[in-house]
Amino acid sequence: MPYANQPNIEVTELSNDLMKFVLWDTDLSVANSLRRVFMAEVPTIAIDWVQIETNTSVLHDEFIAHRMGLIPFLSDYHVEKMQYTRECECAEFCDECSIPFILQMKCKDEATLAVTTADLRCMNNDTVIVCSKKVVTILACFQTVRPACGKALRERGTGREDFHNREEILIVKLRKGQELNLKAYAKKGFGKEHAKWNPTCGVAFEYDPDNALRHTIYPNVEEWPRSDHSALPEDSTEKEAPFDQDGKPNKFFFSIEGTGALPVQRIVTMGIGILKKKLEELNMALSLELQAHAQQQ
Amino acid sequence: MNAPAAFESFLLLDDKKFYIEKDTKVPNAAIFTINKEDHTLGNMLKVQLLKDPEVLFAGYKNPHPLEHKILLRIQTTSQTTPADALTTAITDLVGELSLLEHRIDAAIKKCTSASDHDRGYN
Repeated sequence: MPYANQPNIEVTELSNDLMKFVLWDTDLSVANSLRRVFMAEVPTIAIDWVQIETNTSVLHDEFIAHRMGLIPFLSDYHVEKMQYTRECECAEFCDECSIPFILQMKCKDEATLAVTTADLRCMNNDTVIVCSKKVVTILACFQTVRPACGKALRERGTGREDFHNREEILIVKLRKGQELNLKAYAKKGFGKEHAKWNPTCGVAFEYDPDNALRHTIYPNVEEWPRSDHSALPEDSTEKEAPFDQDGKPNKFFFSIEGTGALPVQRIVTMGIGILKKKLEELNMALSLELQAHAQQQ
Repeated sequence: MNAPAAFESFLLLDDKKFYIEKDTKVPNAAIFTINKEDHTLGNMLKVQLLKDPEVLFAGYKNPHPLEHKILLRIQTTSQTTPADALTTAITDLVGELSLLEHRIDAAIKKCTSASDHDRGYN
């Protein structure tokens, strides 16, 4: 490996929802590829097939199906063991590649009924997955694939106590006499196919915090906010560092926020693995093609 | 209504992953067509190839956003071939990511053990 970088990494903040890390001694292209992979190619589980039996709510069928798809599901312990439906041997749906849910709600009272993710029932509760010894105590809350909100997230534990938005996700509101009755299958997928499978919500990626490389031009220097990672002295009046003509981006500041589908550290470790696997597969395909070429000649 | 299917961006279906086309006008040059790949790999490979002093030219393009492929053109000195240069670049990147895989685990452990005391969970 004559020209390989030797990247270093330091995690500066870590919780289930947010991870900040600094990556250095690598190329901008590698750092950017990692960012792209975290967003588009790390698989999660989301509802991908909905059959609506009755829907007398105010929202039309497609609207509800779309909302179901956007619900994040706790995917940590299932996603790597699950098959993609297109690669599965079954004809339509099986336990290997899909998880069935039903939602049966009818409003019988005068008051409006809020149908939330808490009303979504998983049809096969026996999707028990063998887990490592370390997590046996907290196993129960990981065993089932369920919406990543409310109780499920509280049980998983969070480092950020000030995070308020942890209640069940509202699907639709029903008034007296209205009914919603549907069946849905959750499947494995990734963000490239549909954004509902994207495991991240906010991904910040920064390099050269003082603009020494002049990759950007500050149109109005006074209004430019100071970066958290700035190396300029706190009291300096300068907004940017002097132009570094031969400089190369070397240090990359990531801040990754998850949707709850996967703990962020899993997104990062899986992402690196996926990128590596992509390159290995490319290498295989290349050597096969080269062999085929050599035989032709 | 006439939107292309989402899976077209990553399923190879009946196509080949690689097409290699020799450049007839320039010695030691080739264009690699890589199907179902995008800037994620294209840019990474281009930058890695340019670090090799035997590589005279490396560039990639995605000819059209609806055509899910990249064209990677490589020209090398007579000491090596474009295919060998590409193999080296891929191996180097795999090596780099293996190291990163290893170091991220250590970095996460370091961070969790440091904050375990404050938060009381891991």
